[in-house]
Amino acid sequence: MGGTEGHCTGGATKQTLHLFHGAMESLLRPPRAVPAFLVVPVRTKRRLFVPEWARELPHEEKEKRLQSLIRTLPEERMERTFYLACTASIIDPYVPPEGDARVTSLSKEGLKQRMEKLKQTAASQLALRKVKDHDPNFSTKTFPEVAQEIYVEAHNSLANFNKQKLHSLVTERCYPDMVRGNRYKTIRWSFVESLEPPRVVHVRCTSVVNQGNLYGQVTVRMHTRQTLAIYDRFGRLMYGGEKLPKDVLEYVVFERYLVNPYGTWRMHGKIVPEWAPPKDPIVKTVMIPGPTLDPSQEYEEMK
Amino acid sequence: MAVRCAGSAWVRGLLGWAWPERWFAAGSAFPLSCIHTSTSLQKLGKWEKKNRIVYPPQLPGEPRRPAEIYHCRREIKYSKDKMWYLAKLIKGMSIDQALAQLEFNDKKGAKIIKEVLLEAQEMAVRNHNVEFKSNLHIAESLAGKGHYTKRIRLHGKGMFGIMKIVKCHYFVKLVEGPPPLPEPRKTGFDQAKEYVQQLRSRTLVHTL
Repeated sequence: MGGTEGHCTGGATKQTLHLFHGAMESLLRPPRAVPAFLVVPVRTKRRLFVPEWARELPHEEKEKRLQSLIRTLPEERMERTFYLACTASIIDPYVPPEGDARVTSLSKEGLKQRMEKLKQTAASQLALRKVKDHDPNFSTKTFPEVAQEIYVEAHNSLANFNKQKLHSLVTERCYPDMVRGNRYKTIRWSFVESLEPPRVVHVRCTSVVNQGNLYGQVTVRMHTRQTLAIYDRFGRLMYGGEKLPKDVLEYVVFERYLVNPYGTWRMHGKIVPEWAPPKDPIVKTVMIPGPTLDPSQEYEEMK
Repeated sequence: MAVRCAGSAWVRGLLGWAWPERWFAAGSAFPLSCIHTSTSLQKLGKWEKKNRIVYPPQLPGEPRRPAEIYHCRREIKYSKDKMWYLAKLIKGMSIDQALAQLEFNDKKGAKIIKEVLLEAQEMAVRNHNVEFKSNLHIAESLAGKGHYTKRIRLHGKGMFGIMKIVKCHYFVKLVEGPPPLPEPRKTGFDQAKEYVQQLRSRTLVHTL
């Protein structure tokens, strides 16, 4: 190679030689940024050794193992079971029409109200069918009388503080509403008469927790005359009067645990419409605390 | 239907509270099948139980029965002898006057008794159907001995004494209505009249 080049030109031989050598060198060592000192990391000795059976598995393997274990473990025993004998609230509450029992039945509106039969609402019909499946003796014509009897009995046992009987006539949701605050009071309640025959107004069925765990709720409209007198701990009259009969229009909800063959219809709650007249005030005067003032302020200034 | 949860809250509250003492006893015994899942409360003292009596309804002709509210605080870290002075101070005052006196009293027990009176007033208005919170007066106010614990108190020269850590109870009974007027003092003239009356009412025996 050098010879042939030498033949071509005389003066440029050495330069070309250098150039070719540089090219050869650059071929052998590619043109990267090579640091002056190169640090190659050396692996330290493996000191912590975790055997394979103790290592954490990836997520999928974990799940697979859990699945296989669930089948082999015994099922959890319920140490303290609880039994839901009633629902917690009134499902789909009935909205009483405004002016109910305020309009005479002789006028047009009164007639309309009277003619509003249960058959018009489809949901009530469905629920009624479900109720009749579980309880074949149920009928919307006989039930209101039974309901009124339950109502009267419940209030009588509340006045006599017969707790066992009250529990059998009233659901667990209604019981605290009836009994709260009455422990040291004397209640005298009496049922004078029924002004209009009670009638079923609304029927609903629900399942709680599981499908098929049915509770039936029936709303009954009652227009009655009652007397109520509440005496406090010292025998002083707190509310009402023993010889003051009052006309009462109420929508009482009764509930029954349909799936239980020994279930009974019990009072579940009352629906108070918004247009209901306000109740009578209690006998004593109650102080409503005013706004808290600074020592420098006066109440008249704030007004 | 047994639900797949472990809950027992509703079972606990069923028959946990006591029956109020009524003058006309209902006479129904509790069945033994009740499930007592919680521990019973601490034993109630006699003073607390006095708030549970229920009187029968008053007839329309009877005078209105004044409300009586019993309240107490147990195991106050104070001496019963020192507390007695404050209890004696308050006896017979109206509640507003008592609160005023206690507020400006320098003793430690005064602050505690004031708290007790305010609690009792609050209870009266809320639970016992008292209409006006100022219409109360203090019928009874007592201080009683609480539990004493003994400890060693070290003296010099290796001697020791047994120290008693002293606690007291404070009881108060509020009655509705203005405070009763204090009895008028017996004057000398009254005493003389009584003496003369005594002399006149003697019977003479074995005489004409």
